Amino acid sequence: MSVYINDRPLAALVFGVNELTGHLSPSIPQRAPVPLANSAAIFGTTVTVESRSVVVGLDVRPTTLVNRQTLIDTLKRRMAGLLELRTDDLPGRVLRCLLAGVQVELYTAAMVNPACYITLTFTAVDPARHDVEPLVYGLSTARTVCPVGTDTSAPRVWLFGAATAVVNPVILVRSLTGAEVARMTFTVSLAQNDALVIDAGTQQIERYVAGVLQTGTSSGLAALTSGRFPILSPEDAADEGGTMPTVELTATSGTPTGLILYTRRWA
Amino acid sequence: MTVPYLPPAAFRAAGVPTLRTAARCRVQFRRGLTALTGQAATLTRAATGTLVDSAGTTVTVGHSMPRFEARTFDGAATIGLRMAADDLTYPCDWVPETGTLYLEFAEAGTRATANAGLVYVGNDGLTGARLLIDSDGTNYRATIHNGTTSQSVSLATATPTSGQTAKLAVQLEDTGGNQRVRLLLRVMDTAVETTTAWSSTVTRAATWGTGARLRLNRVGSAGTQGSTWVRQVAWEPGLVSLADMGTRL
Repeated sequence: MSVYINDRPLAALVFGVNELTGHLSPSIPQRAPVPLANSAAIFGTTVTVESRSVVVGLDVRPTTLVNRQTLIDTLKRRMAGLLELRTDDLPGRVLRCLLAGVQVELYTAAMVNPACYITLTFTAVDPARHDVEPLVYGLSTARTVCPVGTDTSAPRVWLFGAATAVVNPVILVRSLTGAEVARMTFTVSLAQNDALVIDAGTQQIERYVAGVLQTGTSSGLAALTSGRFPILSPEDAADEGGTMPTVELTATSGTPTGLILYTRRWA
Repeated sequence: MTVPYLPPAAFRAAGVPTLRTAARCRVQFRRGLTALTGQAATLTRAATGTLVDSAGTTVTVGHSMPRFEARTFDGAATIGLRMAADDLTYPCDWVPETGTLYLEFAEAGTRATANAGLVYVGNDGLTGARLLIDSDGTNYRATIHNGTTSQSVSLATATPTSGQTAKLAVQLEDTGGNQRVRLLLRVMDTAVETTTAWSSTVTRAATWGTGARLRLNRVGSAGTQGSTWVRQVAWEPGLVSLADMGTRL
């Protein structure tokens, strides 16, 4: 089993990867209880998800004590910052994590025997794995099938204007049954060179006119009327993953078109 | 005996951990327009444009909106940026040095268009020191210009052909007194891998022309635009192989 950190194999540095645990256990979201007796003050349910811990054990056999220290220094450099961890069994998915701890276990006669065992512990605050490659689909008044993984995806959606202005566009998300599960409504007239860019991950909306970002009363957020940011959820797909949720556009007038870009996430 | 080592802190001043890379600039379009290294993109296209989505459907996108197109690269489905009438630049804050400019792309017409740009480091007005990769009308050509004189080297074969994907690198060697370039190309899904000889040298330029930027699909702000699909572009210090440039952040 090979482990890749930021696309570089750990096996290239060490004699072998002897341990890899924690990367496949599915994360189960724990929903916070909502006090029904105080429903007027409910902002909305919250979901907490435990971070994922991945442990990697490395069998290290450098030829000299100096090489051992050089290798440890190299590992430290490569383990800095946000890391993308991939494994051979699922090369198309990455886990974003930070190095949480390092243990270097020296063997008997450590002052002459350079071999050691290094245990790396990674923590992924977001326990879900992401596809390495995103998906992109055109949007229209027809229902566009958007495949999801086993966890939610927060897409980026573009809404384009047209020569005949698209007035008050709406983004609709439907479940596998066709039932509407999310709607996002705008009050805006999108002309030929206009575009709205909706980022459901950061919950930002930008409006562009001929490529120029608009601000103030012409900004994207000012165009938002009601609804919520579209989220693609496995709860809206069939249990076996065959039938997926769909996204479509409507408008008061004009022909709405757009684009949706997202990565699938896997719990 | 167990010796605990604390992991190194690697957080920006804002306290948010970021991906680290050896490159001075690396853009992977599957992650968006903003470079991994933080440089913000400036994209302009004074018209609509089309792309092919993950379902194989042609989609029209609006004025100046990015055309994230789905293609296959090295046997795997991936997302890159379709470029034709599109102009895309990034700030260039590094100076001429021994380094490697790297591109993963799909040929869509640039190579057969004389002087059409593929990737460029320099200013809008084509003054001062600059590095150009463009077409000589048949083959891709790398040119190092110190603001006064230039030297070029071209690939010897008319590859990649339209629709083929490739990894291309321009290595710039800076000896401290002179600079020269050579091209490396690997056409994906074929056995074609070629490296040109080094160009002749020019006297070393210590800085790029004023206002230099990393630009895709065009040489200078008024140059001939190419037609291509780009998956990744990067500049990394050192003479780095195609394999290393493509398989690490």
